[in-house]
Amino acid sequence: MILSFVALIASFFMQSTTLTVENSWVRVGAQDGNTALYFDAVNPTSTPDTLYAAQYTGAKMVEVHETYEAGSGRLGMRKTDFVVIPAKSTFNFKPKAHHVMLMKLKQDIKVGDEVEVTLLFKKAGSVKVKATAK
Amino acid sequence: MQKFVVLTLLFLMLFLVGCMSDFPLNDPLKESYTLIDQDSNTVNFPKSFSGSVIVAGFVFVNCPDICPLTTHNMQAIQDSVNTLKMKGVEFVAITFDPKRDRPPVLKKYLELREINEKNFRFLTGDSTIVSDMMKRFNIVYGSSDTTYTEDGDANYFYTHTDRITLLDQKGTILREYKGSTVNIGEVINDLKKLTD
Repeated sequence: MILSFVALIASFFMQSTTLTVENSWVRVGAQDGNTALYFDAVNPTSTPDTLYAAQYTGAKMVEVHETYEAGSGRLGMRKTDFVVIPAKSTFNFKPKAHHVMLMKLKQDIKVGDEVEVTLLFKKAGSVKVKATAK
Repeated sequence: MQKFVVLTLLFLMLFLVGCMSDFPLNDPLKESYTLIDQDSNTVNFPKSFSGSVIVAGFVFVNCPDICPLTTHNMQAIQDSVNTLKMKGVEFVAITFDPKRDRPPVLKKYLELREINEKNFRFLTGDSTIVSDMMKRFNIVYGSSDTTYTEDGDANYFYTHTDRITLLDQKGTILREYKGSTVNIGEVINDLKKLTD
């Protein structure tokens, strides 16, 4: 009984001390073209964290982008230097919002392919993400 | 006298009902644009699709976030149309980045998304013609951020209108939807009105 309680407490602290990435997926993309990586950054800690870069060996360039309204009903995308993941919250990197841009792909990403991208956070450090293409 | 008033009112009601349309626009496209599709076949838009309802989307291939939503929605509408066995509906994506979006690029875009090309064309063409066409369809687009790889390879993007447009069998523009967030059911209902 006591051991179970200790395990429960330990598990709670283990879960709440690390930023994790969930529900990751990537769009299909053609060689030399661009595509986007989407995911949920789950930050259970009591301090905010910051995504400031990402790395993917299958692309010539990787940036964090956001989609924005450019006026007159137009939409656009632009680079953002960082994204803050607030404490005890989940930040959704999703279509028509923030996403990681994989640019100038070195090869096609087809439906069902799996890519591995490294996300760089100020506190959590590097977090490897596996995402399936759809 | 009473009979006259009733008849007048009845006539007015019938007249108003006759004027009301199922669609907010009634804009006949008198122009015809000579373009090429993903297989490098020449296509005159909308003449080549005369007799079919057209679902037209405006996108560019290097757009990784917004345009794929529009394309995905067109694909979802196409799936429903094919499932419902609706006849005489053509899907046409048109790029506003004709310099980069040449037929092999368009072909790859469709293949990667496993789009049924039986009634789905992806069109490009001469820059001037594409520009004129976009103006006619009220598609506003302009280059935005450009980034460069370490080897100096430029990667540019556009800000652009988010649009799917519906045209009838005669090439009349009937309705405009937001491409990335269009209600699929609404489009299917509109297509049923036009193809029944």
